[in-house]
Amino acid sequence: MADPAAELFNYLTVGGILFALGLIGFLVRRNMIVMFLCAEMMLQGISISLVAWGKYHANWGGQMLVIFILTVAACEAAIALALVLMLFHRSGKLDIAFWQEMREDGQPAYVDREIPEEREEDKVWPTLTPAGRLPSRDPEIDLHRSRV
Amino acid sequence: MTLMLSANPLWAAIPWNDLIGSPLAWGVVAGAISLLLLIPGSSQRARTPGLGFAAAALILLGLGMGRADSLGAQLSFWVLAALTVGSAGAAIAMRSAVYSAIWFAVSLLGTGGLFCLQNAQFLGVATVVVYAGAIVVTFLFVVMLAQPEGHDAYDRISWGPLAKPVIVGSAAVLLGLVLGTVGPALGVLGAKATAKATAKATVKTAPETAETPSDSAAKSKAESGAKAGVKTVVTESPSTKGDETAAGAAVTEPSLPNRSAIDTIDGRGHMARLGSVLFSRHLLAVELGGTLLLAALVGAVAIVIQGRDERAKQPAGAGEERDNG
Repeated sequence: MADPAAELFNYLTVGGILFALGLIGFLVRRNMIVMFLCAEMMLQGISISLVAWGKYHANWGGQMLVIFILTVAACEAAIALALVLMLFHRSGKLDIAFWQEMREDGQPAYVDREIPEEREEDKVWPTLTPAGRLPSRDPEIDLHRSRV
Repeated sequence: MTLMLSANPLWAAIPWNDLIGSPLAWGVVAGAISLLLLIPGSSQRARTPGLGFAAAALILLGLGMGRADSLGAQLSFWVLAALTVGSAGAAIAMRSAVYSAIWFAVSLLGTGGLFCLQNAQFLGVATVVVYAGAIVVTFLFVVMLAQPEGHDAYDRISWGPLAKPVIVGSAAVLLGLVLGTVGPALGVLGAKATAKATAKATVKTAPETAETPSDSAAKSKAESGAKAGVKTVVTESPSTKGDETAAGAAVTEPSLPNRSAIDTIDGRGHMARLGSVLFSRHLLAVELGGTLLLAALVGAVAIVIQGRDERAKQPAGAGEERDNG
């Protein structure tokens, strides 16, 4: 780009937008998995800004910090997923609002007022179209493999 | 209130008139409106205008950004930035957690491309491999294990009617304040930018050596390449500074082989130079990062094992809890 400062500002804008989107998603969404995805999105915004600063100053520092951000994000994802699975086994759902049961005595509970209708396209999983022909099944193997 | 704010130097530094005229500000506003219409908790009819506002936000943000020299560089930045931001918005707007994770992976591909545009090829590839290849896939595993029907009521709602506008509005204001303070400080947004643009237009015909004196950014790139050489000169000439400071400088900055060649981030041998900086100057941090990974691994296993013990001890209680949920 012609002006290094203008280029830096472009990347800072993209990084800032990613951070803001992750912040909104973390605070608005109630699925714990999506909340952690949004936390990772905030880290991505910071990473873009750091790499842009490193390019601007012609310095390795930004990229080094991003490498360690990757490390910390991997650790965070491992522990967060273990915690989410624990919480899921206790509550049976991924809703973060379930854990308002840990509130103090006497505090009013948050109750959902209305739940909007579900759209048809949200009811199905993303699927792959089957390809090739169906393999022949051995009844003896089917006996051993009851749940596949 | 306004008096207090105008006394604040940060507040005074923002060029409000230029910000209102800038497409960036209107892009942020349009993006906030589109998020309000698209994020879970809104009605289904708001989908079409929400998508329209999102497209308008992307176009306005693209118009507000700086121009590149060549059409190819500009097009690649625009496409990658639009891919990153658009799919990140889709990730937080999707009603199904699986689609959110997939859109987040697409956003990561765009981020990797942006890294590659900035002489960070290793990070671009590592982001795609580590995030999209490992972390998002693990997230998908957990979603498919935990939510086998793929959709639930809590994915379609958010926290009450007031929470969403407040959160989106404050995030938009935060972003606007950051852009409005960083832009003028860099001389990109505001009166300085227009002056610079006109100066550049006149200087354009002149040879490249005729730099504007205020353009310190272009110079810093050239300087930092020579910085290492200057430092070694300083340490070798004790007459300018005392012997002790020279010795201190020599101790704090260990001599690295061919340091001036290592320090520049663009050019050939990207991976080799990145590796030599990572394993010489940041060796302790690499070891600490490895220790952190080990601790996280042990911690995750410990969390899961502890939960299994508790569930094995009181199976009846756990079953009741799940029935309640």
